[in-house]
Order: sequence, then structure tokens, then C-alpha cells
Amino acid sequence: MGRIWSIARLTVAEAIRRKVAILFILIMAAVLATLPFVMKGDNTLTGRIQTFLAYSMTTLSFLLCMLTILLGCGSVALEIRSRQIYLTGTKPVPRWQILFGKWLGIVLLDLVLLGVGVGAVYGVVKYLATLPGTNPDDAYVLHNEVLTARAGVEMLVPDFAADVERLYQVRREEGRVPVDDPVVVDQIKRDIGLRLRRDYLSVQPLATQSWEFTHLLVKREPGQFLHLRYKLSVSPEPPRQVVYYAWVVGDRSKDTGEVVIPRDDKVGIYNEMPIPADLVADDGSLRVTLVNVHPEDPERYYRAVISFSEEDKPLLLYRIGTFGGNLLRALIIIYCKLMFLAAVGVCASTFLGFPVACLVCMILFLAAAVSGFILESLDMIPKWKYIDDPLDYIGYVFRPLGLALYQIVPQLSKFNPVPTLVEGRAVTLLWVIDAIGKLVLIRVAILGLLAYVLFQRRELADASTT
Amino acid sequence: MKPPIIQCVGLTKTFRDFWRRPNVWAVRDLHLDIYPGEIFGLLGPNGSGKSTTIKVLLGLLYPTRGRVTIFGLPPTDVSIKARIGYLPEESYLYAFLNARETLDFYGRLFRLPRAERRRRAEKLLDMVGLSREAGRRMGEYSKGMARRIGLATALINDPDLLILDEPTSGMDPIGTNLIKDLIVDLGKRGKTILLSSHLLADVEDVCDRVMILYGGMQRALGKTHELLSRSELTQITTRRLDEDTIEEIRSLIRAKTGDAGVDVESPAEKLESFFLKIVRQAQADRVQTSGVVQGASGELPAFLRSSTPDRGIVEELVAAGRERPAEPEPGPEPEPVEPQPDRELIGGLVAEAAKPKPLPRQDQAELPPALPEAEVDRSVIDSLLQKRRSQDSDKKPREDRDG
Repeated sequence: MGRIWSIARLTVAEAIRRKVAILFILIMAAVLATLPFVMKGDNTLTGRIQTFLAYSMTTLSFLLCMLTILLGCGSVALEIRSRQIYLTGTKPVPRWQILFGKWLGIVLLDLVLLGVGVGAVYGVVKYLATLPGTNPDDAYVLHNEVLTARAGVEMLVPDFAADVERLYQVRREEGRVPVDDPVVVDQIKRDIGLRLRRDYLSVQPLATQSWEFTHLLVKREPGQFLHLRYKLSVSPEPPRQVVYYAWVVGDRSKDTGEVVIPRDDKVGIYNEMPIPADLVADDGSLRVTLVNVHPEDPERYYRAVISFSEEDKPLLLYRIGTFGGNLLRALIIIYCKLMFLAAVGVCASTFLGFPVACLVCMILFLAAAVSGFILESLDMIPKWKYIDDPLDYIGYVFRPLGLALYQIVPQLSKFNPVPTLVEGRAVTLLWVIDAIGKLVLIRVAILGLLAYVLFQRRELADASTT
Repeated sequence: MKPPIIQCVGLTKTFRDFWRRPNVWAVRDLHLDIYPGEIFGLLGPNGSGKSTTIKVLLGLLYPTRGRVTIFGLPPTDVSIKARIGYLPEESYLYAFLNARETLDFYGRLFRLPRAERRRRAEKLLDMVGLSREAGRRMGEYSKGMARRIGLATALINDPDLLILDEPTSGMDPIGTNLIKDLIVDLGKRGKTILLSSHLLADVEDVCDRVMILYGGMQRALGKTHELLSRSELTQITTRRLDEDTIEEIRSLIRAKTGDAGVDVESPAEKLESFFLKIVRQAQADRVQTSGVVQGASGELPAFLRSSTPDRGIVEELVAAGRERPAEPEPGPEPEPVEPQPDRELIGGLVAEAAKPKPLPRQDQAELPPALPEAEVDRSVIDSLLQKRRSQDSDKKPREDRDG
């Protein structure tokens, strides 16, 4: 371990003395010092802090990813280029120890920089939280919806398979199914299922719709609140984008009492509504009912359908931890990403020159960072049986290649805790374990093995002329 | 006979182009045995395969064909590297570390305890004359100073085998002298040294055996004194004689041998000795310099003088824990060296290069030629001699640069 530690220390010393780390710290200091004054969000204190958190953590994470890639790619490649490897490689140090030492040095430096950066973000957030809010609700919203860690539970959506089959048979009997082609049948059934789910998430004017949340592990004490988070779609759009309606929370059949909460929410943005925790039933369930009627003046209701999209179903949030703990777990997930990127960089530098290794790593990083978007695009490429345009053959080739790529390249977009943190939702321990497992234990190990094989086979010297 | 420390059998190394086609034959079918306690010189002009051979021995390059062992193991075996000290052809040290940190880092790679690392670092810094400049970063050193730190680095682990690639490259005469003294001193204590150089005088002064490479192939191999000896000549050195005595001696020799070719001259001091004398005098006078200072007293470090009882780190390193006796047995006789086809050629050309003063043309003409002109590979000779001349002419600027 002594030799690995020596190489790790040398790597850290190099980054510091070549002023790479200092440059990083200066950039971060400038970002942290200016962001709170430049970015003010929606001008509320909550908005200001959320904006600061989002931008500062994203910048910190991005800069560290870049730094890690550069250090990783330079680790071995630059030593070979400048021939310092002639000396290290002729000392009694196995090559795997050289690689591991380099990787360890980079991730140690990352740990220090990430720790300092996240610590500074935490300090600034805590300072901003002491400033007076712009309205009386500001402080409540800030502490209960941002500076907290809340679990999120989605509403139950029934399985409509039986209904789909029934409705399909009805259609068929009515002669509304044109052909018996299995592809067409599939499409019809999919359309029926979509319509049923959309109906389930919609409320017609003057109508009501109930949903249920289950398995809520919340303390049902007076003064404790849960928060229902949702984004409304209203058709046709209401005047000034504001819709008037009411929620009825509670289930009389389960002796929880019932509360009517009138609302005037903006359309198309996330709204959060506090719900008293004692409305949760003994079995850990909570029933909410949307009443599409103007709560104060039913005669003046606006005739519109209120609905939720499939991707943005209402979510019930309740506090399960602190902001500090959440930030720490977010730090660990970001750190797992950095450990992975350091391994990618070191591995690339064992067989590529510095500039090429950087290019390859940057492309991989970008592909991994926007994996969600790319996978969605790949999913939209028609499958073989639907191809009618010859150009679609290109997509047919790229689709499996792209999907195969993401079996190897991790979907880093799934390991971005910043939006979750900003929404005051819990960065769960399961998520952390997932990141450690998938990014570090599996991928770093595979990359380490690959780097060892490549480096072991590589000649460290070149054809010099003496 | 002890087995060789370094053994190459049919070593061939080719470098390939982008399409994997061999485009450079760096070393071809090289057979080499170096025995414990030997100081072995690899000679050759640029591109002759010296450095490539050394890199293969160190495991930095892999042989294309042939078998290489060091201490009986393949060069890629990590365990043997604890016994090797290596000075590459240039100082590839970390520019952001200072000299002390550099030695400490490499000491750590040999798992030396902290106190021992410090002790050795201080002694070695003193040995190479850079104790006072040890806090400066490597990037701030001149080439010669960096070479000295490189040399110290090569010795930090008290190696059994020292591999020096162009050790005097970039060195001023003081440094060159230090290196040569050190090599001889270490050799006397049983260390095995492989020295690569294209400077004939360096190799001639210190090596027991030499191999001359050209085009990646062995051109000559043998004991240095055997390769260089001119058995057909006799040289007598005595105190200054007057003209009458000299004439008497000439007559006597003519009478005895019938040979008119008697050369009489006053030997000149070598420029290197003269230079060292001047520098030592300046150091004794405590003239200020920000460059290299040889030992606190202005003298060469004590450990470089084998007869001094106050031994320095190198002697301590060499003596401590050695299985060998302090005064090693005469090294095992190398494999009997078969007369090499080019031996006379090499003997001739090295003697030519080493002569302090060229013979007058008329006398030279009377001497039997070392080899018939037709058999001499003039390109090898010219290349070697050219190197030496250019090195001699480079000495002055280097002195200036290194202070």
C-alpha cells in the first residue's frame, strides 16, 4: 500500500503544484460568491435558494467531472509522453499499483474539492435561509419543501388489462377492428389502455375523481404535514392560467376525517399543497379527491377538464430526513460518478495519447450525461416491421448499437441528485447504494481490469535514437 | 563460475509502423552476458541500439525475439527491480518536485523507512554537490544539475546492478569526473555496472569489458585493455631528460632494434585534469556560485575515495549487508572471449581516438598500420571519432551553463 499511497500523493501534489486544483477552487469561489446575487429565481427566498442550489451544485459537479477526466487522461499518457514513466516503470512497483495509485490520487483530490465545494454550498444556503422572506409563507415553504428530505409516494394506478380486453372485444364485436393483424391489434389495445389511464387521471367539469396513496410511513401527529406535489393540465386553458377547484382529503370509510382544501393553482407548474398528517388512515393509506368545481362560487366555475400527465402524476411527499443528510447523500452519488470518470480517464490513458484520450472520454461523458434523451430518441426509431422509408434502415442499424452502448456506458442522467435535492426530496440510501454498486463496484472494477490488461501489454518506451 | 547477472540470447527488437510492419531494426540477434562485479560498456554511435538494448533489459520495451534475463528472471519481473539502479539518457524527473522530494519519492517506491530515506537523500545530495540547492524544483535546474539528481535517484536503493545510459551527457567536467570516479569506486566494491555511451574516453577509463554496436548488431566484444593494447609498441615514461641523453637512448634503441621510428615528447596534462585543478582551487578560495559545489569543504565527497576511512553513503550502501567481501574477489572470469573479427580494427580506432597528441605524419608512416586500410569500416570509426570531437568542443559551453 505504501507504493500506491506514494503515487497517489504524487498525483495530488502534481495537480496542486501545477495549479489545476487552485484554478478549480478559484472558479468555484467566484461561482459561489456571485450566484446568490445574480440568480434570484422567482424573487422569493425559496426560489432564490433553489436556484442557487441548482446552479451551484450543477456547476460544481460539472467542473469536477471535467477536472477528473483531464487528470485521469493525463495520469499515464503524460507520464509516457514526458518519459517520467522510465523511472517509475523501472522501480519495483507492479503496473497495477501505478494505475491504482494514479486513480486513488485523483479521487482523493476529488473528495477534498467536492467536500470543500459542497461545504461552501451548504454554508451559503444556511446563510441565505436566515434572510427575511418576501411573504409570510416563504419561510414555511423553504423549510418544508426545500431544506428538507422528503420521501415521495406515487398514487396507485389500477391495472387496466381486463378493461382493455373487454373494451377491445366490444369493439371487435361491433366490427370496429379492421383486420386481425397482430400488430394492429396490439396498437388498438395500447390505445385503449392509454385512454383508460388518461381518463383515470382526468376530471371533467363538475365531476370528481379520487386517488389513493398507500404504504405511507408517516408519523400521524398533529402539526405534522405531508405535501401533495402536482402539475395541472387544464383544457381549454383558463384565463390568467389560474384554475379554481378543491381537494377533499381523507377517507370517511376509514375514520380519518375529511378536509376540504380550496385551491387556485397556476397551470403548467409544480404546486405543493400541505396535508395534515392525521388524515392518513391506520393502514398507511391516504385518499385524495379532486373536485372540479369553483369552491366558493360554483356558478362561476370555468368549464375545463383538469388532468395530470402520466409522467407527472401527483406525488405525496413527507419528511424523512434533514437537508444536511440529503446533501451528504447527494455528495456521495456525485462522488461515485467522479470515481467512475477517473477510472475511464486512467483506462483511456493506458492505450491512448492525452488529447485522444480526452476526446474519447468527453464524448463518453456527454453520451452518459444525456443518456435519457438519447435513449428516448432511440426508442422513437421505428422497429423493423414498421419501416416504410428506406432512410429508416439507418435507424434500424443505430438503434441496437445505441442500446448496446448503454449496456456499457452508465446512464449518468439517472445519477444526478441535484434536481431531487432542489425539490427537497430525499436522495435515498437505496439510490446511493445503487450508485456505489453500478458505478463503482461494477464499472470501476471492470475498467480497472481492462486498464491493467492494456497497460501490462504496453511498452512504456518508444523508439529513441541513441 | 557465477552465472551472468544480465543475459541476452539472440535479442532482436524491431519497431513497427502504423500497419504493424517492421520499419526499424533497432537490435539484431544480440548475445550478451554481463557477470557480477563487471563494469561493462556498450559503445556505439547514435542509433546503434544501445538505449533500446537497455530499455529491453529494464522491461520498458519487449523483445521481438530472443531471451533476456536479469538476475535469472525476465525483465518484467518486478522483484528484480529492487536491485537495479537506472539513470536514463535524460533526466525524466518531475519538474514540480524539488530534489529532496524527488529522492524521497523514489525512496518510497523502494519501501525505504523514512529515516533511512532522509539519511540517504542527504548523503547523495552531498555526493552530487547539490545539498545547498536541494530546495529548488527540478524544473529550475540546469541539465547537468538534473543529471546529478538523476544519478542520486539511481543510487537511492543501493542497487546491485547499475544501468547508466549516457551518464555523462550534459555533465560538466566535474560531473563527468564524479561519475567516472563513482563507477570505478562502485565497481571495486562488487557492483555490476552497465554503461552505455558514445564517449570513448568515458568507457575506456572505467570499463572492464566493452561491446561495440553498430546498426543494432555487435561489432566487437572484449576486455578493454586487450582491445586497446598495442603490443607492438613500448612506452617509457621518466623524468625530463636532456637532449644528449635522449639522443643516446635513440641510438641505443636503433642499435638494438634497427628501427628508426622512435617518438620522444613531453607528456601534456589532460585538459580535464587541468580544469578540475582550477575549479578545486576556486572552491578552496570560496568563490560564490549558485551552481554545483562538490562537498561542503570544496572537495569531492569522501565516499568517492575508497581509501578514506570516513566513508560516505555510497560506501555504506555498498558495504552494508553485502554478501560479498568488502574487497571483492576478482570478478568471475567472463566467458572466454573468442577473438573478434574486428578486434584489431577497434583497437586501432580506439587508440587513435585516445591518443593525447597525434603522431607526426612521418613517424606514423613508419608504424605498421593497425589494420589494412581496406578492412577498416571507416563509417564506424568516423562516427565514433566525430562524437568524441564534438563532445570535446562542447565542454566549454556546458561549463558556462552549469555555472
